[in-house]
Amino acid sequence: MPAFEKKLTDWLKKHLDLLFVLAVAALGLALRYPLHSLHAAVPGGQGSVAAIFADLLPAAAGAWLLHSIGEKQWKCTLAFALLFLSPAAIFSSAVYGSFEAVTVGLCIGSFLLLREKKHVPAFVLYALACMSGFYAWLFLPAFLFCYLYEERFSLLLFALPGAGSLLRVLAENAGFRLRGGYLPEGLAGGKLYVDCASFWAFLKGNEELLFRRYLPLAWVLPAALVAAWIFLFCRKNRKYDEEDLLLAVFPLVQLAAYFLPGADSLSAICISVPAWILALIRPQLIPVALLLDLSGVIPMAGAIYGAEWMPVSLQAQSWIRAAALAAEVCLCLKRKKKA
Amino acid sequence: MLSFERKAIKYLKENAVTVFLLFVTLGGILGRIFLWDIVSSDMAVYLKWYKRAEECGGLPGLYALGQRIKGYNALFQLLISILVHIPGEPLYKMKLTWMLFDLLLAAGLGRLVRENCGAEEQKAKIFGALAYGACFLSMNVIFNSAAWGQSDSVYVSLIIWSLVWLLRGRHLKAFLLLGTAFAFKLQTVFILPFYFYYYLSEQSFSCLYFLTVPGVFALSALPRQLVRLLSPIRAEAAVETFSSAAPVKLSGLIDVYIGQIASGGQMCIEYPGFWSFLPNSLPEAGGFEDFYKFRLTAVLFAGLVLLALIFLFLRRGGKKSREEYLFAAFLLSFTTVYFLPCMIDRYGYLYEVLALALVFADKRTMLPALGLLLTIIYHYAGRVGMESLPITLPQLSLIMLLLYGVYLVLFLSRGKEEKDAGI
Repeated sequence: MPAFEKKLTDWLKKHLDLLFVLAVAALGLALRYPLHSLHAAVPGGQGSVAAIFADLLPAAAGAWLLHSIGEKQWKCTLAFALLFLSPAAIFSSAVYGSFEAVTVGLCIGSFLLLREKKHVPAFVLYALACMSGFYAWLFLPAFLFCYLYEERFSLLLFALPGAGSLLRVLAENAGFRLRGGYLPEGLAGGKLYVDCASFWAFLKGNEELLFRRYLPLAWVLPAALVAAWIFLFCRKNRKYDEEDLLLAVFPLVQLAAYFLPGADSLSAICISVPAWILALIRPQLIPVALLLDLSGVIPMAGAIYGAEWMPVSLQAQSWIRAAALAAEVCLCLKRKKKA
Repeated sequence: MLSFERKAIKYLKENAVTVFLLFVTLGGILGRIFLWDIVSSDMAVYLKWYKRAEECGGLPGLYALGQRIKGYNALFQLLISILVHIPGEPLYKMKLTWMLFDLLLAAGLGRLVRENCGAEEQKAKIFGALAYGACFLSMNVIFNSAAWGQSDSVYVSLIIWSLVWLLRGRHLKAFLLLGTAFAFKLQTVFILPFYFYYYLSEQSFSCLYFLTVPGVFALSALPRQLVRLLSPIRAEAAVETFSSAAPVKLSGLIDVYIGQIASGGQMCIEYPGFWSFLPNSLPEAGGFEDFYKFRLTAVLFAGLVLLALIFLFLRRGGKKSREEYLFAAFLLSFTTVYFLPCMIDRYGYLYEVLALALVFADKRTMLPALGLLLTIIYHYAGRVGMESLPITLPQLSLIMLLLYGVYLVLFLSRGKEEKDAGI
């Protein structure tokens, strides 16, 4: 092999991860761009070309998170690729033009800072996340878990994300409305779910009546689930290493997203991003992550092309999601065999 | 972290069970209250009975109400008559009463799990609390009492507490509670095959204990007879709408079901049972001609399946653990309801609740338990004013059969290496 070629291949091998990431980023952006013309067809779509860059944030944050818990370099690189090329992420940003990916990216970043014991910066970032999108509140159970488990930082820090949300709401009331309202479509419009394979998709009927009757229960159930989870896994004598903590905490975010009343299709990203991160820690979760991702995409596509287009009904998808989440919970909580 | 926060967290962690139970109870009550204004068709019937009890003057008019209305026995009439004397709107009074029985049911299930899940003490306490929460916030329990307005938690709570005492070895208490459950509702019969199996397996009590059941059933008519003695004029004015003047009949223990089979028009009455793939209508209505023959066959077939299962369980040999008995209770009640014909959708309530308990005794059953949730939503959707799910009864029956198979395999694969090769 000629010398320059040898040098080139050596350089490529040395910087393989970086080159792969750049290639994925470039191709990922390129494949998103043509899809932005679908914005007009999307009911409630936010329609911003800039949103195609939004997915870079959760992809980078997810990769960084895995790196911080000591995962191998190639896994971190793969995380970036999976998170950036996930169908749910592409639909959310490219087709819907939404910035939910920014919200999720900021949440993951703030969680990472929390684990690095930088509590105030973590909550400042989380406050920014809450200001950018309502779905940041789905990460609240994760922060609560860490608060009760670590006993290192004050409850007063939770006022910061509260303030962030309040600022956003006040700004909207004052007329400074960002693309898309703050509240999910369902909560704003008095519906238990909107084009979303959430748990509440099983309830079909007069939407206004269902919302009025079942909303309190719809809040009680996820709250009870979170309470039960913390009750079961946040005990005095239970110790977690960094990897185990992610496995204990991220399913909580997904469960909150699945049971959230009033959720719309954009909540899918709060389920798929943690799913892919967990799949890289426990490879048995890869099929589960795929199922969860697709169960988020199909309703989004159904909203554009009509419910008849969907290969399975929303209720069936909700069911599939429930089974996938249950399998994920079982696999995440399975203790590693001691060496 | 502030010092009061540290103290608060310390208190929370030391009293986690109590705090959790309180949280779940308050949340469950809140979630139910907003459903109390739903008046389903069955709730309308209850309100009609309530009105009748009110016209009869409540407790003094108990005899006029009758010993039994459909599957609801003497104690149920007594309960309705007592409610007449409590001030308040009848709809809310009834739903509040059913909610109290939901709490009793959840407490019973929590106790059942805590004592029989096979875990060490601290973990069992946590599982018990979680089972309480899972039951009180379970969609079928909430829909049944708060939305639909049914009273299945009344008799099922008594069955669950009966199981608690049975597995503790307190047989008399267990059978007294079982008899009381029968005195409320005849669907208690679905748990009988398990008691029969337990009797043969443990051989720790006499078969005479089974006589407690008809004994309590007969005693349940006492309040009614007392009222008749104390107010003979009202007794004479018994209304023909109900079987009011009839003396106590022990055949009342089964004749509702006999009546259901003999005159009921469907092989499966909105329940995805084994027979729902057969045509559902009477020959007179243009259905298939062998309808009546199939019903007899179905009953005998169900009996044979139960016998075969009990035989299989007994032949497995070895000392049975409490978790295994819990699993057997679930499986036998599931078998009874699934394979008998003319089952109504609500008859699955008992095994649905037991499935929740089973999750804590055998975590492999978590996914099949989730599968049962689909059938639960199907049952309740149409009854509480929602659109039905896009799935037919025979399709759901196939899913149920699959779930049944999964549960059977899970049961038979329990502790295989410890069992004698008796089969």
